[in-house]
Amino acid sequence: MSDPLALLSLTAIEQRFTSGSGLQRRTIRAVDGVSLQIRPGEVLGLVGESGCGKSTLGRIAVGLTAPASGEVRYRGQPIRQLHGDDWQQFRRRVQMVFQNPHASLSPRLRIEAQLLEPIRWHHPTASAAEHRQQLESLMAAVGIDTAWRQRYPHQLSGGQKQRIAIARALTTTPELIVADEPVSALDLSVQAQVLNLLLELRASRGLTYLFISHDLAVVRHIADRVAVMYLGTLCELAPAATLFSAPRHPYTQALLQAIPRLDRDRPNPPRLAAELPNPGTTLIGCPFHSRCPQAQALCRQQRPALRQIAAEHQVACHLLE
Amino acid sequence: MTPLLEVDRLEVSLGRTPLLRQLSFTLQAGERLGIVGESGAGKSMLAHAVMNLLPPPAHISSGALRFMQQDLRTLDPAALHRLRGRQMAMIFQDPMMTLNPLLTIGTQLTECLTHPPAGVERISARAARVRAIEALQEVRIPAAASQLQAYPHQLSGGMRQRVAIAIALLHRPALLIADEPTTALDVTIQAEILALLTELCTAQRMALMLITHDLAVLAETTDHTLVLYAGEAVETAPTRALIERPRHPYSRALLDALPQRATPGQPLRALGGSMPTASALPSGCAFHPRCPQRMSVCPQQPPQWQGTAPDRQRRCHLPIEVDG
Amino acid sequence: MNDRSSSLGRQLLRAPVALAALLLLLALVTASLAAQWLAPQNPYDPASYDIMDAQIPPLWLAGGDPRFLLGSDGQGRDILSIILHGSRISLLIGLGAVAVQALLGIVIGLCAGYGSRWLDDLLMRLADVQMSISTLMIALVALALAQSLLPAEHYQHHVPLLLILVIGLAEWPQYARTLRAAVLAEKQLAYVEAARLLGFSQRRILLRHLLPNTLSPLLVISTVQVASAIMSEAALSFLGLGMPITRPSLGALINSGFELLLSGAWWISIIPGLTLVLLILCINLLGDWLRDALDPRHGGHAP
Repeated sequence: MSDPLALLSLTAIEQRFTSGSGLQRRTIRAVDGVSLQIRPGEVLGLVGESGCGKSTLGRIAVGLTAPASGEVRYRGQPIRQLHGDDWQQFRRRVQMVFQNPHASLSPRLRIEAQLLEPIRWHHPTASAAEHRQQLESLMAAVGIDTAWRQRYPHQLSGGQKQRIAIARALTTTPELIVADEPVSALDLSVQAQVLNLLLELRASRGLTYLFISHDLAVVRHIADRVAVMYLGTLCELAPAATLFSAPRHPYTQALLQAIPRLDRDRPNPPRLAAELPNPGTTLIGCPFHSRCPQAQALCRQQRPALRQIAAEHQVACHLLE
Repeated sequence: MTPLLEVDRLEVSLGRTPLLRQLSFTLQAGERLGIVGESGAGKSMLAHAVMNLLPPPAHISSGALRFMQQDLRTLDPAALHRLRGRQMAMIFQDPMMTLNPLLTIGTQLTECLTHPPAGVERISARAARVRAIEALQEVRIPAAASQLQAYPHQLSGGMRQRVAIAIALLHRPALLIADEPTTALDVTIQAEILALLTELCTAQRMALMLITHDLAVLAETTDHTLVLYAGEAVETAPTRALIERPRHPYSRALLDALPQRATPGQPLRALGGSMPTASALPSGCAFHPRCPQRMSVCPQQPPQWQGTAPDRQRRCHLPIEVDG
Repeated sequence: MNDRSSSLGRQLLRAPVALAALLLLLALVTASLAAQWLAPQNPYDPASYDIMDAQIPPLWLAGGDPRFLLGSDGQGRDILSIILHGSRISLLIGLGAVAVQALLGIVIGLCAGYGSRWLDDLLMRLADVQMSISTLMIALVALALAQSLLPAEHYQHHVPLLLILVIGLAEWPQYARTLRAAVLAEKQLAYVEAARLLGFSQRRILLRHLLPNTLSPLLVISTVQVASAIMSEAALSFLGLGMPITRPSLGALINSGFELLLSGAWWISIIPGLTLVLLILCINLLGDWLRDALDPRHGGHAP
């Protein structure tokens, strides 16, 4: 089912990586059949623990890598078929902000150069004065003093580098920004600053975000809808308020129970069986069945499909069928 | 009751730049102390200083450090070596800082027992193996006996951290220092490891010094907290009291900035600026440039400790409010 | 001025050994470049020397002559003059060879690191083959071939260029492999992906983003390669395949004095030999320091 109003739609995306060589070659299914639609103007949170495939999905969504199978459509157009000017247009409309602010900027170019380069590339006919003006307004929009444009990245703090990275993503006037753990590497007080910036930019520029994070508290604060991934599959998709107050998938429930809480004075680990199975094995049945406290015989045999259980709420679990 | 660990006006310097200044706190046996602060505040430096294991050229430049009533600064190297690993142990954010990738975990566990430092009794290989299996079982590693043959790279991150904890606990230390032990782990594993640590501390009456940047982890696993900012302690309080009624403006700002404390969709109450580095400290109170309640005296004089109880203090010029 | 190069300069001032090496190297280089004016004699002009002045010992030994500060060789040429001129040739060939290696190596390394897997495999197997054959052997064969194919004056005239080409073409794998490794690591970093996302052309990404950030390891190996090229040339000239005795380099000079080494006129081989050693030593010391200075793990200020 493809939502015609979707800005970006991912259909049956699969991605595989091979690791090792020769006799020890393993195929890891990083993304194992995920379909998702991102609606204009929304913040869609994508959460999951390490190895769930959320970052891989983000890179596929933005067109950095092609999926092994499945289709990415931007405003209905499959991006695989885009070439030349259309491809450049897609590039402008969809941008990304990365996790590690220290690796996000080229170490040997000044801030000014790094921002002017895409400005000039995408607005070749504008004058130098117009380019400069755009540079200044972008720096102001992300809260960096324009006097700092002569500086090199190593002279900036992590939070400042991330702001410049956001400014750079904005140089193409995008519609959708895929933010891959944008605040995970930042300190708490800086994290709040950057999150506020992202919220403010969304309001002022009408942006749409795919917000990838492992930090549920952050996602709860910023997302409209949340998608939960586990071992390459989508477990649950619901509006943020619903997901955090009444999660239906056992994994989501476990996840929410495990988050440390300020109002608790002891940890409350969920009752899960032993840790993640080897992700290289081909899984039959529900990916979560080996750890799920409520697993049944059916769960071992058949993979549950993502089904709508309420308005806007989809869950992939046999227990709810 | 004499404290297990006494830190009195400790100063750690790199050359002439002080990285940690005037740190004082005590730790009782079995107590769980949290050290919280952002990156650059000096938390890891403090953990290493307490073990007297600072990486040169950083060194303790002044102050007292007493563990089990022994002065760690003047103790001879052999005695210090015996103390570390047996009475004091440490685990790190990356368990691979404890584990040797080239040895099986069985070897790493048993060699602590069969080749202890001078002056400590060694035990036989067979007894060591039994002890090693017990240690792994204590940290809830399934099929402990067969895991002795495993290499660290064959284990997941959470399992490795459990092994690191097992090694740290082999000699039943009186104090365990845990430097961001779960920061790199998934949230479900984090909860398990934190529950494990809490349980072991209670069962073995072991003191815990937990270093973290995560206030919620602090709430769940510590009794008392020390808040660090730019190399200094700014507030000390029982954890529950700190979380519910923080007294120092920085502690308040940290809690206010948490998404858990904000309304979804609304701007977070963010603190502007960033923490100064050790070589560029502001005059007077190190926090004053960012403080929302800054007064005229703040840039001029460093604040003194003030508080309602010995274990509930803060360093600030603001008058104490009567809020309990 | 780039923040980083000024901090590098400051680090240099704090390392006395490297500083001394640099100053000595600069002195040698300047002296050799100014050879025409500094040298008391022009060793390339047969009219300016006399065989009757052959084998005069250096000034501080008995029988020394103030015209020949470091003595004279078997043909009556002033050793000091030949050292000055010869060092220039040695440096020219050394730097020229490295320029050829670097250019070729950078192009191949970039293609291997950034291109497709099979291109990478192909180029690296080529590099492996090239590296398994010793430079000297390649040079020997190539030069011997050239010597036999070209008439004598042509060969002699073109020898510097031949040496540059031969040594350059033999050693490109060093650069290629180093650059490839740096490119492989760097291309995964977020800023390179960001550049792709911004729609920049491959060429722009390679030249403006990747290359500048992968050049510092090349700088480090360059010093070693210059030293090695100078030594290769010296060895080839010593074996008679390099610079001829009419336009001697340090190696050729060492060669010419070799038979006389034990019979008395030791200065003809030893003094140029010492100069060569000094030159190589300075370059290596400088290279060592540069490697440490650029490596963040050793406390340097690398990007």
